[in-house]
Amino acid sequence: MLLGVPVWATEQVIHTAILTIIAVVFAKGFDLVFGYSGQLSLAQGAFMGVGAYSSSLLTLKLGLPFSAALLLSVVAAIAISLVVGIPSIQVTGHYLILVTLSFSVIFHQVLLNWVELTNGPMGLTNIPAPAVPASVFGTDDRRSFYWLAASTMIVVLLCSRRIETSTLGRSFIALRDDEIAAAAAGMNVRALKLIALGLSAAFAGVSGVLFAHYMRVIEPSSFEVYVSIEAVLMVIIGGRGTFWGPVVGALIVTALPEMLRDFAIYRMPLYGALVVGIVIFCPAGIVGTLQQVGRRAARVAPGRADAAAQGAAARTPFTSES
Amino acid sequence: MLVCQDVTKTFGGLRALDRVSLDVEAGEIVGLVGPNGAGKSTLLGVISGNYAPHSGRVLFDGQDITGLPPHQVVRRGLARTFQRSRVWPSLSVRENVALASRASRDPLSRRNILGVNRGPIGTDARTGAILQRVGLSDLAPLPARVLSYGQKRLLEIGRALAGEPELIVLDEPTAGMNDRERAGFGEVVRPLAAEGVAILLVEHALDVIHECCARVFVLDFGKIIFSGSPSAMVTNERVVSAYLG
Repeated sequence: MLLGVPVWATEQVIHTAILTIIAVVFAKGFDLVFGYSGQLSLAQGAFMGVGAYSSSLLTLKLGLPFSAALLLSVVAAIAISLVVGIPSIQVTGHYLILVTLSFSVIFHQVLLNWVELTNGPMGLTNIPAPAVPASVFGTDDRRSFYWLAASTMIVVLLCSRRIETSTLGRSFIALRDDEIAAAAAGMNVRALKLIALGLSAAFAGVSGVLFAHYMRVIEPSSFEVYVSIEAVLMVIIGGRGTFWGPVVGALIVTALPEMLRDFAIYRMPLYGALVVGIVIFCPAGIVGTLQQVGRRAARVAPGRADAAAQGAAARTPFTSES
Repeated sequence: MLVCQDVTKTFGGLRALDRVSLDVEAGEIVGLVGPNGAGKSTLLGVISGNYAPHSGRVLFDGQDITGLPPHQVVRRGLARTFQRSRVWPSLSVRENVALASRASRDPLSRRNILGVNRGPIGTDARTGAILQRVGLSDLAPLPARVLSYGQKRLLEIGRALAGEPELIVLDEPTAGMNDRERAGFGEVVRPLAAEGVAILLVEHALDVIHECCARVFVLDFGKIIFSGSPSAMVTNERVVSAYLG
């Protein structure tokens, strides 16, 4: 559905579609660490910021091409996640939340105050758009970026499919279900947690790079802790630990507010009601609940969630205006 | 094969284990009994790497494994089950076994980290043989959460067997089993010992101890107060007074 967008859509719809794609990449990464491995990291927004800022600086200051900047920024996001993760990964539950939350706050302060590098609260501007060959994607900037983002998302979805069905992904679930049993079965729990965190940071980094080179302007407030909380919302609404859950969640959190423009002042109450309703009535999320129903009835095809439910979102990179 | 030498473990001021020594030989089923709070689970925690002892050593196959983390202990061939069921409920029965097998035998192989699994994980012959052995073949594709309590205990034993261990520590394996499952338990465990696998069996049910074990250690207030045959145990004064108060 997302893929056919540029053929017919208006600029505004394409804009929303691109932000949704970026959110899908972001949410898929968060689901690996939260939904599959059961570790709540609130540093995802910061990891996204690492990707966005590294890629912007590498292209602006060093003149690197987009592809090289993308690659290096993902490496940077993974490296930073390991710096956060290695000392803190043995703490679990509430403590891991506190550590990652603190990192988010520190990262935001660094972006604000290291003015020589980050230009402080003014942010970075004139970030180059990726040089996409016109012959491939046409000459329209926004439409060609759409194709770039969509192909990136497909690669990311294929990668996560591979991870989730591999022994590694199944081991993440074992870790989430029972960590003590995982260790007793021979799993290196610490290493598994770090791998999950690193992979989630890599995905967040990719989404940050896409965001920076699409908006072409970034500022510290785009990567504050509420962005991490949005990842939590996307994954919980969609269905944690499922393949399509984060996709559906990203769509709802990002695209729905655009569709609900006419009800602007009711957005936040609607949004809160949606989250509370889902947590109470279908704690497995939309896709998770559909899968449960599907297993019971064997009639509903699992994973094909009807994304057009109801809801609205806070201000975020995924809902910002262009 | 397994030797504990003067293992002492304190929690705050409490001496949970006080110079505990015991040994288990290959092919032997050794019982470990004691009243609640005697320190049985703490001792198992020390043996399998969940706790580091205050002093003393744990030797396995002649090597000092004291203080190794749990995943390294099991990779050396010392597996365990838990007092309360710890299967992975979201994973299928066969995945529970197959993942343990991969993690404990060749955790770093490329295939295990990102290999493509053709078909569901756990449809290999090894996993099939283990499920057969613990009598869960028919339930292989189901999520482990749907198993009965007794079936979960059996699955845990299957998971412990997955790494081809030389010694298995079973923590109250028959608790919560019905009579039929309990009878099945003996049929699972005794052939293992006949194949040379050593078993340390923590158990409250004295009938199971009598049926399976030639040797028993009795733990009370962190100390070994008796070791010998099950029939000598029930007539031993210290054991009787520890149980009856």
